[in-house]
Amino acid sequence: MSTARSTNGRTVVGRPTDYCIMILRTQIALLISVTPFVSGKVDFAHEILPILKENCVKCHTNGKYKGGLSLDTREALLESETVEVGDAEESLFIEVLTAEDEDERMPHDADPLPAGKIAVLTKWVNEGLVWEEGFTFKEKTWQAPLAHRKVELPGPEGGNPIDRIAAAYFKKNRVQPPEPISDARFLRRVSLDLVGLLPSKSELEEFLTSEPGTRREAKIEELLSRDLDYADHWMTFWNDLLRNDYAGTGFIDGGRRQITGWLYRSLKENKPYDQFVRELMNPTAESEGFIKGIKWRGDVNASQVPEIQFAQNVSQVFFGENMKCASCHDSFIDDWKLEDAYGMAAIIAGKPLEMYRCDKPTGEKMDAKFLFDELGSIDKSAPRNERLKRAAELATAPGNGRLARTIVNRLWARLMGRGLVEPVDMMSNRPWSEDMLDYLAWDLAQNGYDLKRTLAMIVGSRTYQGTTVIPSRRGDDFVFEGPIAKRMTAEQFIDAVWGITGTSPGKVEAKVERGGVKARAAVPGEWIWSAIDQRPAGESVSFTRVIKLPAETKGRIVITCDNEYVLKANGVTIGKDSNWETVEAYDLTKALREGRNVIQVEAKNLGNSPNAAALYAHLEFIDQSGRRVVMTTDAQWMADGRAALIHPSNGWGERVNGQIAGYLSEGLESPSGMSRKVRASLVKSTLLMRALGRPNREQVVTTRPADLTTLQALELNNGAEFVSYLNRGAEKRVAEKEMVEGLYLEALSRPPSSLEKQVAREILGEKITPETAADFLWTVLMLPEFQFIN
Amino acid sequence: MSKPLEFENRRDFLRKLGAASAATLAMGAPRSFGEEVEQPEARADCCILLWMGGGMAAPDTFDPKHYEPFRKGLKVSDVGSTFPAIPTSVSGINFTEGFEELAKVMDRGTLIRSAVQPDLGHILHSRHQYHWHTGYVPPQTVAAPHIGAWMAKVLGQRNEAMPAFIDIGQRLEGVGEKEELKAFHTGGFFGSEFGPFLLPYPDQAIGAVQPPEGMTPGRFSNRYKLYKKLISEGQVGKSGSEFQQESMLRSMEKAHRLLSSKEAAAFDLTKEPETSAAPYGKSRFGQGCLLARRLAESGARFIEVTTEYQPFKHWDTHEKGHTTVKRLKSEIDQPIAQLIRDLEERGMLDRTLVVIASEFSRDMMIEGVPGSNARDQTTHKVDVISELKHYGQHRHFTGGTSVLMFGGGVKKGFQFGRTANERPFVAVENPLGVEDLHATIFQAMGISPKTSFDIEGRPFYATKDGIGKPAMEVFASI
Repeated sequence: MSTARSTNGRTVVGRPTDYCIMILRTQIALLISVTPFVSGKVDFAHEILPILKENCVKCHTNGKYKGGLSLDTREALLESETVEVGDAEESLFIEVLTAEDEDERMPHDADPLPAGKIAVLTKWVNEGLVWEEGFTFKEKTWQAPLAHRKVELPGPEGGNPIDRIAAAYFKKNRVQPPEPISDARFLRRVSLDLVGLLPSKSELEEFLTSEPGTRREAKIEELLSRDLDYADHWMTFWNDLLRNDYAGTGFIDGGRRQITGWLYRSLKENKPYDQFVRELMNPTAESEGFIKGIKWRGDVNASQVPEIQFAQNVSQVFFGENMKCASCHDSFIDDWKLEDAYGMAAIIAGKPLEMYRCDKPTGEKMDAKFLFDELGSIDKSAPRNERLKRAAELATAPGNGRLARTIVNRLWARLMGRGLVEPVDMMSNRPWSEDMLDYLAWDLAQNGYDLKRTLAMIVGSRTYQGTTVIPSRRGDDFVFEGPIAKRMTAEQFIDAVWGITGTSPGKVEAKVERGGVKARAAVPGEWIWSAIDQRPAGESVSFTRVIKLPAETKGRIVITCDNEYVLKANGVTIGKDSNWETVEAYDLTKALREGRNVIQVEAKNLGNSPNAAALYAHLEFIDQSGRRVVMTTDAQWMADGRAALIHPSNGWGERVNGQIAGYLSEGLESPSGMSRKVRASLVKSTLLMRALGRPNREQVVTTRPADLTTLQALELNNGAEFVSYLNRGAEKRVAEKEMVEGLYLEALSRPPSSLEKQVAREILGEKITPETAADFLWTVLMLPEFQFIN
Repeated sequence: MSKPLEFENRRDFLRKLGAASAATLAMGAPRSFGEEVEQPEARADCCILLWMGGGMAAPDTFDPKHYEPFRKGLKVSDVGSTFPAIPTSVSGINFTEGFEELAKVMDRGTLIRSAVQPDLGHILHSRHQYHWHTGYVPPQTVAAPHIGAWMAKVLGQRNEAMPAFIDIGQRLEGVGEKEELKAFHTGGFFGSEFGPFLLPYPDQAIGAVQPPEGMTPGRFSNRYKLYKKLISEGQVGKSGSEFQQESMLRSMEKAHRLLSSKEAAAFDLTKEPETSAAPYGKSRFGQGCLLARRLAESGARFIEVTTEYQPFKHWDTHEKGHTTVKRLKSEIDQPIAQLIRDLEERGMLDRTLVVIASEFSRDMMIEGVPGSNARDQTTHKVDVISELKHYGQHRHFTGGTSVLMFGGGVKKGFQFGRTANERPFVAVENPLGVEDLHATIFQAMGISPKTSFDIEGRPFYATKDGIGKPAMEVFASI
């Protein structure tokens, strides 16, 4: 069986089912017409196309252009100059139909067309030669390959492969590459794209003053190393795809299982994607929720039993193939057959499955068969777990390039606003650049299916770092001109609002372990206690750091200790913890005073025998004038009165640096910089989230609606939940100095223009009140510039 | 932007774009499948669905059977109805006691007594409700739109300042089976633009369409004025794509228009004169009917008012069926009749289709005593009634359900379909499945049951697979 699903030879139009074939062929999904009503006008698909097919296309399409007339496309027909649009009488195209001379009359060597058909064609010309947009008689010759292809990179050596492929593409398509964006815009875009968060003010400031040559590269590395932020953000994407949620249909009577814990851990560990897929297809108890599907109480249509859900969801999510048609009958829109759907379903079924066509038993049974069966067969007599294991092997086999192509295309679509292949669930459609798709897919497979590597390559490219464009050519003719702006997801928007208004909820509702992550990026500072690994069990050490501070200084500490600590500032106990795999942050401001301040950590090593012990802390102070002082654990700390010793290895950092980096990125002046934020992706959906497009997750969702609807706008104007965030945020920020400047920097990563400041002052009034502050917050949060990732 | 578009092109583009953003279109968003579908001539512009969530027993409401009053030792098999029959304004059509007001307006409506539903296994209400409201049995491979979303999508708004699809009386939080309820209270794959505007408490509806609590109208409009000014002063021209801005601002404008429109007053029940408000009573459902009338007058397209589904509450009578139904009837009888009279008086009834329906009917059965197995509702258990709480319609029944329709071109004083006089009370004449019932409703609204939209390259029809056939007999000739 071939993997490419050409629809050649199946273009007879007239019956509804065939019409949908044509629709697919012509990518009509991109057409603009939305009216289902039929007007008195001639209908191209149902009236014209059959006539052309029956009488004209044999000699005038697809390379055969007798008399120089091509009917391949409307444009080709117009070029022939045989048609005077709007005037059939002046059109040779119509005239020849009724020519007296048989040699001149069309169609040649055939009976003349009946008058009715001539009348329809005449009407068609008179009405403007309406043509189904994008429709062509040219046969689809492209077939989606299954195997990987190694792409020879064009252009000079070095540089980002994406840019090299894009450069050749732009040149070939005569597209002016997009202009590069500013550092600030890049930071906002890349931060929202990789970790789903707005950059904080201090992050922006640090970024703009860091080493210019390497700042973007370093920022990408840092963002991707913030494993918890990364996992928090991508939970949204994967929950949609794997239809996982913390509440929803099916849970009511055990018809559904979450994979939350497994998914979160897989994301924070950046589990290789092939392994990720294997663990979903051949699951443990923790990850079985995906293939188990959702079982509603009662009897279910044969095309929605859990086995068929498996066939549909595995095919769609991992391979971008739509088996929903074929689950009920042989597909009309591609070549998938009922037996393909049931072959996949039989992999997970307890026994060979009886096939149902349109909910009626066919009497035929289907054995297990993988979607792309040229990759290998599945032993039908093997037990279920063996079949699943085999299917997982085939899904991730080296010969299966579709797995990698599908996921890199999804990532590209997320970051660039549109896929290399569209729709992203129709991977048998032709990408606008095969080189780009094949290279990224190959690179992923070659490099241990490291998704972060792919993300880094995309966001590291000049192509990604270009200004957003409005594509001038769409549909089949789509030409890539640069990234397309994306609307924030409900989760991104709400995280941003929670951050700006300081209203994050207190509790994570998803059962996830937000500690113990590995991180590759270094964080400033050293681990102190001793230079050797073995410390006596039960040993206690008092670590201190003394600092002189001016009055009214704000301070924060980020801290963790193996094994436990009690933290004091000027004798006041600030906090304690005994799990070194979780990092804490504390606000020190209230305990600080003018002059000498003592930060003291009473640390204790636990266990029954000598073992490793160490302390990490990061202190940050900002005084009234905005001067920042940062100090970390190092040799300047005292340990029981002597200089602290630095531990030579950084074994702890591997597990906690991601968390530390997360706090540091937040900055101490941020309302949520003191504790690990609860993210919108980790709580149950609310009315506001639903209004903003968070789906119910009963079905696989791979693309969310991009536009702000009126009902959403209503919710943002007077919805109780959103209004409460605004009011609480306003209370918190009403006394803030430079609120306008601050909010613009936080929300838009840029300062306001002087004109904007003027309007802001108008909104805020002479004296800022909680009401005017709330109104100002609202206006900024409602800016398209805020709600879109540009 | 790498290639600045010509002004003409951009305008043209935006014009074609309509309400959808380009990005949506690029994603293969739903659109008409473009099949040759002849849309019927609409008989109504507005549809009001009065939803009896939980399973309204036909024999105790609109389809009286043999009545036996409660007494100890009564055999279940001897009881058809627990209310005696009463005559209506149409000779030959009887209701049951408690519907005296509705009986008076029967001469304006069509009573369908033969609606049937498939048996979806041991029956979860919300699953049948999903089926009734979307026309599709869950689970589905795509999110199926609510019948109201279909009307919003295909017919659009009647009045720009009024949401097309309004849902009154159903809470989606704090009630049982709430996730299942959310699953069909949705625009489905049409997107939230076509989803329900939820008003769980009619007397608080005005809150949904007025400036947030504590904000004066002056402050509200000033905020919006300055917002627009900020945008015009801002950098969006430089930094944002214009079509996105336009699309977003258009939605903001529409929302703002509603929130400051005169139509908003329609949501405010305190604005209704006491004389015309009083007949609706003070129950949530009665208030919902009044609100529905006001919204219909102001141009809503589809309004659902529910007695509210809550597991084991209201129409979901698994015990005390008789007494519960008695109360429910007293809550709905007068308001529904008043709604019909009001619509008629205002000359709106002809162009407004009112549908009173439920996910299925009920039959006599005893629950909660040894020998009765509530889970197994497919076999009928004969038992003897010893307490009043056993007296009632407690068994789910999908074989014959009553649907009452008014206006929208349906015949006046007409009965369609019939159930058997002896148990089981199944439809024995003109059984009308969910698809056909929907097709009938759609027919009145001017929507062909074959209307379809493209989702994921497949057609998705207004009635399942486009098979719904309207019961044309219920319509008076146009």
